Amino acid sequence: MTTEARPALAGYSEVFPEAGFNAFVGPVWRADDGSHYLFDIREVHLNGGGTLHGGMAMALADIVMGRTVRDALDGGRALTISLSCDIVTPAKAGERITGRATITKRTRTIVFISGELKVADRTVLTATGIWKILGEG
Amino acid sequence: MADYNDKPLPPARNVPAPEGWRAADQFDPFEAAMGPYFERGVEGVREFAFIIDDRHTNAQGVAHGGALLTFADAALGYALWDATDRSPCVTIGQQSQFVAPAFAGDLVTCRPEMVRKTREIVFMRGDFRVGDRIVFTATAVWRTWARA
Repeated sequence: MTTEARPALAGYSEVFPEAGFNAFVGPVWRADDGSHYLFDIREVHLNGGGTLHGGMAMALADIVMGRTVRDALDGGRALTISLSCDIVTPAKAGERITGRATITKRTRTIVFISGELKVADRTVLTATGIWKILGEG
Repeated sequence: MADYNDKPLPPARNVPAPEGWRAADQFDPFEAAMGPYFERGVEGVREFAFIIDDRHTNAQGVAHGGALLTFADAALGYALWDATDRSPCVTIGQQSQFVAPAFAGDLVTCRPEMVRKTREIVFMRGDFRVGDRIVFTATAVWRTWARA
């Protein structure tokens, strides 16, 4: 059974583990240099066909891309306003997903970003998203 | 296409159904973890809902994108099943817009629509509301297989 999260490697820390959705589905591990994220698929994350639930896959993309946006804002905050995901191949419990995101362009108010989830060399999900940067107060 | 679980799973939490709604059967472990999801029949089609709680929010008490993405995937999938006599199906793409924030305690509702069905592809869409206010919209493309 893969019901327990495996411990992360040294050099990673959990993304927003304090409360809410991330605490419930996590951990999602962020490499300390922000270059990538790790997520271990457990039974709870599956659909009835025994593969990673599409909602969880998209949620993970949102977390990876959202945290990457936040890293680029130097303490500022932003909200997802659009997220387009292609779910390319299934993934199974026990597999470890690596997530990466790349900012395409940042304006004063908007961040355009793309993201990808892989298991080893296999692409599981690709995404593009638009984040709105929140104003001061 | 692998065999799909056909036995309903208990929701992770006992949340009483709002008046006029009943718990929808859940077959996916991750939906059960986020559940219960609710359903009711309106004009011959099913509408779906869930109540945002602490499993569905971020640290600010606002609905987490992941909770809405997951509920959307579930609701569109239920409606696809209704339209196809429960054909096996998987999401291959979903385009989602976060239109307005939703908060802990809000009842999020959706009446999904099937836009078009071909032999292998189904186009779905849905608006997700809190009361009359749209908080989230999604379009999705699903791959489907004829029932064996």
